[in-house]
Amino acid sequence: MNCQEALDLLYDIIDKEASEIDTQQVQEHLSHCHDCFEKYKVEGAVHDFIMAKLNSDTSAPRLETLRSRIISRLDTIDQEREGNKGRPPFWNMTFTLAIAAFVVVTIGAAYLVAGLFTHNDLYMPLEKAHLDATNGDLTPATIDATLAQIDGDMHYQLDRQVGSFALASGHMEEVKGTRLAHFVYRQGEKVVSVFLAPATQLEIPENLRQTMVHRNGFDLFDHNCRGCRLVYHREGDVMVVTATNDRGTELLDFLPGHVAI
Amino acid sequence: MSDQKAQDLAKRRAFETEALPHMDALYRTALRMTKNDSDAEDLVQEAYTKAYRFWDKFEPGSNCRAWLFKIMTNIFINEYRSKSRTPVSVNVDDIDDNFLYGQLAQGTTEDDPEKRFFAKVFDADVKKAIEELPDDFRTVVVLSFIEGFAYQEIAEIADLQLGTVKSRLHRGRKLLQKKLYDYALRNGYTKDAAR
Repeated sequence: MNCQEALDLLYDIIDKEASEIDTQQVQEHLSHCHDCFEKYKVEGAVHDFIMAKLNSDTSAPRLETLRSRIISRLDTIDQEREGNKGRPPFWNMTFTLAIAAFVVVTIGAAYLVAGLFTHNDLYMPLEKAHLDATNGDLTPATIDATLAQIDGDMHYQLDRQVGSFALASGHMEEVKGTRLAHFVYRQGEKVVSVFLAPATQLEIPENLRQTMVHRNGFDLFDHNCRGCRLVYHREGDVMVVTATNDRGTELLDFLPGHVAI
Repeated sequence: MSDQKAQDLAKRRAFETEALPHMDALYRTALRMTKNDSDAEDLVQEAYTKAYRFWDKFEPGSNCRAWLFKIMTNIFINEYRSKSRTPVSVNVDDIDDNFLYGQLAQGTTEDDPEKRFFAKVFDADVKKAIEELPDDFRTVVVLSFIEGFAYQEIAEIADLQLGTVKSRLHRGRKLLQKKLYDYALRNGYTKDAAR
């Protein structure tokens, strides 16, 4: 093997792509050719140097966030698939039907509308309760009584202030036959609902069970639905559900022990 | 639980065990490909979304890591690269083969002349040099240098001929060496300081 042949194989050897025979012949050549040996040595050192520098970074916290983003995308895909399976063949007409329903409504067949709302109501009752509270009257007067009630019934204490959010209302409410405490925190236009009920009475909806994420030692059921995000978390015998329609608000701050960092 | 549901759940579990552990590696490469954190995150997320949708097409037992990189590289080439396509301003052919050897070692009596040179090249310089490579070269260089993929694997991942992979790697190396040398000079490296 001459120098040119040995140098032609330089990167193949460095990248471990050369055949065994070629490698042996190159080694043989390098053993008696100082110039080629030096070239191999410098090229090899440069290669190792670049490799070492490039493999020295990856920020762990970012990856943790990315991981939960990906998990939540997978959840969405699962739910879409779930939805597709349940759809009747004429599902594509639903939109047309909805418009038709609207027209019918305007001429007085209100019971159809009631039917459409029932769907929303069944699908995500707490989301609806949150939106109702957001749009309707807040009832600050019953805060103390409601706080006392959850403390007495569930041995659960709630902070009046969470970050820059302040407790704006609290009352007992019946949602889909479950009696629960509904607290609302406010910070300007941003609103967060916190629902509390004994875990025996407020269960995690079937369609959320697969969306469990594990963060900072807590099991959470994190769900994005239409305009809202909801997080279910069980704390001992109490089920805590937080909901918001503001995407920028971190719901984990409202969970017991402040799950979020 | 119905059979269908059990199957879906098993599928999801398999994806999480086989595909998700490669996220660190994908992100590391995405970061060098896109050159910024948020694009890199989006790219990795898109890659996983696509991979999950096509998980049925993945052959169990084959190389999951290479499969994921193929998906990600494909998205990068089709969607990200076009955004910021820059023409190659350096003529690679003007750079000598074994450029650094020529600059550092030729005509010197120093032992290990490269060590003094490396001391003047900082981590940020290496990253910058990689990021300044034209997209086509950078993709191949990153897959080889950072991920250690074999030439044939890179050819499949980036959908290139084997010869193209080798030539891009070779030219990428030359550009890298030239840039690193320029950075070292700027950082105060002098050729004959030891004498």
